Amino acid sequence: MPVRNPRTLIISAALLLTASASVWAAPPQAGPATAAKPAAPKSKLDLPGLQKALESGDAAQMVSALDTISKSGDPAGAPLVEALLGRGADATVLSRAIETLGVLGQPSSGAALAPYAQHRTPELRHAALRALIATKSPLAGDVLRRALHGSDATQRAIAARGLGELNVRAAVPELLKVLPKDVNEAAQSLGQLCVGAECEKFTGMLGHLRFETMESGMVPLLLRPQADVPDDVKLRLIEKLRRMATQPANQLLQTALAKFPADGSAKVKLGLERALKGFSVTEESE
Amino acid sequence: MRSFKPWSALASMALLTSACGGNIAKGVGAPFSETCQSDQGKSIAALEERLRSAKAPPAAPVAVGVNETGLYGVTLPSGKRWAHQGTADTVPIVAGELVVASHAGALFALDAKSGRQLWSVPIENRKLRGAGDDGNVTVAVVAGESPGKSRFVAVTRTGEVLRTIDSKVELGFPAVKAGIAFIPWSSQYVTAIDVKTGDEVARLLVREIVTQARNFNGDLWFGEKGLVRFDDKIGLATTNQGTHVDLPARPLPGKPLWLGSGNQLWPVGNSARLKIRISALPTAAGGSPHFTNHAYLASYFRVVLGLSEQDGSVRFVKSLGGDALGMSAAQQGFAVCDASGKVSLVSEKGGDAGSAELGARLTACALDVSAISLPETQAPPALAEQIGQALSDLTPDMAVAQKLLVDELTKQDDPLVTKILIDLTSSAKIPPDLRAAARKLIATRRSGKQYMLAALERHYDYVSDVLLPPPLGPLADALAAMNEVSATPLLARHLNDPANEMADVERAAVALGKLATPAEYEDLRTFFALYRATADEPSLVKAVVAVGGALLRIGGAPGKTVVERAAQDPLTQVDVKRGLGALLAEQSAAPGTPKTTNVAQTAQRP
Repeated sequence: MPVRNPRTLIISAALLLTASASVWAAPPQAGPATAAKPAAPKSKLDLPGLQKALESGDAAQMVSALDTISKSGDPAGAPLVEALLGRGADATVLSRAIETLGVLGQPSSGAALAPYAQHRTPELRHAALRALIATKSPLAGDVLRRALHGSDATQRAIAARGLGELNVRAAVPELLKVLPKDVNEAAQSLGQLCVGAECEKFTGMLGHLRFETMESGMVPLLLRPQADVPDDVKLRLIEKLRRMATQPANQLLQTALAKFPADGSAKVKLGLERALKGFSVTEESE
Repeated sequence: MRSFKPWSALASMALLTSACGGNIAKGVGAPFSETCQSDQGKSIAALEERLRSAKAPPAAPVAVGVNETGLYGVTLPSGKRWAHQGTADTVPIVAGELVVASHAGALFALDAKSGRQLWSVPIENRKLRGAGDDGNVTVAVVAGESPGKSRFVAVTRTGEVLRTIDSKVELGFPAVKAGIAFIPWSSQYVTAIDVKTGDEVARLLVREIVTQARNFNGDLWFGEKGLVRFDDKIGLATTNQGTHVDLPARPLPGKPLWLGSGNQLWPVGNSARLKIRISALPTAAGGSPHFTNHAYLASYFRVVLGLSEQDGSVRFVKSLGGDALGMSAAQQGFAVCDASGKVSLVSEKGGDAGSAELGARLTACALDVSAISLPETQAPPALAEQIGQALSDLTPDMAVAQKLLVDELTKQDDPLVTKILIDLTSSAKIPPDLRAAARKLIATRRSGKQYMLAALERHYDYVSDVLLPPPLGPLADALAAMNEVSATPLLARHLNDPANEMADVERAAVALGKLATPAEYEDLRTFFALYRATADEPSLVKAVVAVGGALLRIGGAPGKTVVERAAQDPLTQVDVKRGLGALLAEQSAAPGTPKTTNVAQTAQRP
């Protein structure tokens, strides 16, 4: 199945970033997400002073300013940091700036962070991806999907996990493709995101892939509502796990039963209980 | 000591009974004595004159494969198959209408068209070295594994052994015509023996190595690397004035031999020697000696090259489903037998001319199509495409052949060459050295733009198993040299892809320094911002400076501001800062014409 390549959207993000900082000294423009926002409450931060420090070219001053913004948690500092990323700086300052945007968690920071998700320095790349997840930026999904296609295993792992956290349903086909290629983090996201036939495909990999690879996605899937994952898919999975008759599989069933929501499917709950007693999930299949 | 009497015209009749002092050749070594003096070609010339009207029968068009359980034949081009139980210890020989082979101390002959066994004679632990047939009598040289055990035998159709001569000197591959056997020996002589009487009736001294006496479509030729024809000039062969053919010298993978030494055995087995060969068919048709098709074949495992007889240039390339085990040139076209049991018939231009199946996997194969023509049924694709196909079929351990093919490829003017070279750089089957060579060649290409642009559309993609990025650097060099502005958005996109090698990114940046348009401003600006202060290796420094140059050229006032501020920022990497300062100085010295790195400076890099 062809997978939509999110490169174009990422480039658009980069364009947004660079458009906002196309002239060095120009103040960064807010992205579309912030443009529609009502006026923010007055900040306690000394924004002019911080801006001066961040434009000083003195790494110590810049790091100090970033620390101030980070500790304040004040979203008003985010545009200053975004502008800094738009101008570029050395690795130490960049690293701190990216981390700061993650702490602030502003969706508007996505455009500034997106290009750094493709930086040649792995640490900056990883930090940018983590910060993007934290910002819940509308751009994050496409950036993470792109990162899943990249050559760096750590980057792929961060992206796979983040796609589940951000509920990026469109990434399911890609996650299904990378799961058998040593991206174990895709399992948990698939357990959170798959629906219908996707879940069948996912659970069908149990037995073909190592249990450890699949494990993190099983419990989330069993706890999902029936509208997303039909009961019969869950029951087949429970039966498969029961027949494995291993300690880890049994442990997994116990965890699922312990966390089973009160309003969850009675059939599935009964299936879990029967499986843990060693019986087939349904009486008919005995 | 016997002396070799000088011949006179009157004495020519006597050659029937005496070529070396009139002694009858019987027993060990008698006809192969080096004590005879040369008769200056008189005896062989007289023999040729006597036999001129007789025609040695050409070989039956047939392929014979061998494996551990049997011999498998197929007539060509019709495809009628036969099988014979029991194997062979050396590669069988198609001799006239027979297939001659040896196994377990017996020499045997099969009817080439039906596979029916005609005779079998004991040869005392010897193996077949060479054989010929004149329609009535089969001659063969058999030998042991150790030297000094050569034996000549002549056998009738009924299996009666007419003549046996054991020799301590090595006997080569024999031929026979009208009851006269021609046996090379001591790598220097060909002795003609009347198989009925055993008399040595003539002797030829050749001034080059001679271990082979071959019947090619009814004509006899003697030699090894080069051949001299048994015709009205044979008497002059002792002074190098005979009718002579040889192949042009040219390097070929595995250093294949044409006929090879007729003094050696060709054991059936998994030896590379059987898979690295040359096949050519000499002819004197038209007056001057040459090779049919004006070409010859060279095999290297799964690849067969058709080469020009004049200069050895590649005329076609054929890749096979298995290793080439046997080849034969026809009057028109060629046939190749491979380990899968397939016989591929190839037209003289390298097109398809049909095929036949032997019906078994093989460890050796002999075939002869010297008497027939193989008309083309399907024209071959362009040579560049043939080479591309062969390159994709070769395995990584065949680097020598790959290099030869790549060298040949670059001689082609076809834009498709560019695509093939790009594909080579993306193939995991290609060894690193060859990939580097292909990259270097891409940089020199000036055609095939569409393939270059298509390659740049591709990026590393783990999800889709595209695990090698395109050869960005060489493509950038070539496109810059071609002033191909349509490539700029693609090159700009690759700048910010960390899967590309840094050296490639540098070359893309340099190309963009020359080609970029205002449409690429934002991509360039992003790259500049990301790396102006984090450039940690020389290539990245050069790339950032090149992009700085592009920003100055296409970025207008905002671009200039970006570069100026970066040049002043203490955080900007020191070498980047120096490079930007130089750019700005150049621009202020000659406004509007900022210099960029010359693309030619990087063209020689892989």
